[in-house]
Amino acid sequence: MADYAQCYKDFRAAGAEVIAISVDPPERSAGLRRDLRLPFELLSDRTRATIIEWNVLNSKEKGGIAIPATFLIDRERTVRFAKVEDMMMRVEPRELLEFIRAMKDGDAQAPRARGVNPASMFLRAIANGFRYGVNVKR
Amino acid sequence: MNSAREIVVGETAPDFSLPDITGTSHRLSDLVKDSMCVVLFYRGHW
Repeated sequence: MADYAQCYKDFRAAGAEVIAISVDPPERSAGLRRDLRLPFELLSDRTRATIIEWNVLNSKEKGGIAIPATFLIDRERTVRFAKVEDMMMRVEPRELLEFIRAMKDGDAQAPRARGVNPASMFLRAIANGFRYGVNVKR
Repeated sequence: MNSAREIVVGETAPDFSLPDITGTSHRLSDLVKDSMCVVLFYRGHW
């Protein structure tokens, strides 16, 4: 999400808001938002009702958490882009931004999720472990 | 277990109203009145 923070102004300029949803309670999200200096809102889905309705529930971890996913919703509330991520694939914000810009020209091609270098993901996981503490599975 | 259908391009997104860190609710159908909206789901730290 830090990379979305970096591009946030560009998304706003392109006519898109950004929001992010997790099962975290608001006080936990407040810490994350402060630490990562996120300029967009973090919304709390404690009941998991939205996460279930959007079909992005990972029920195998910690009583159910969200699977990382990216959606673009237009002003008619129509889904224009949808990608539920697996372990090694993610959507680059810059590509989504280009998609939004191209949508206005009417010739948009949906961005493809790119493979993530497992080593960098591993390093990031370790860094997050230091920053937030490691959650041991119950 | 999870009977929800996959969200696909072209359909109407399910609406939601969820609180931010201050407790203020944000409704998707209101958000998109002003602009498009990128909706991210993230794992969080529980």
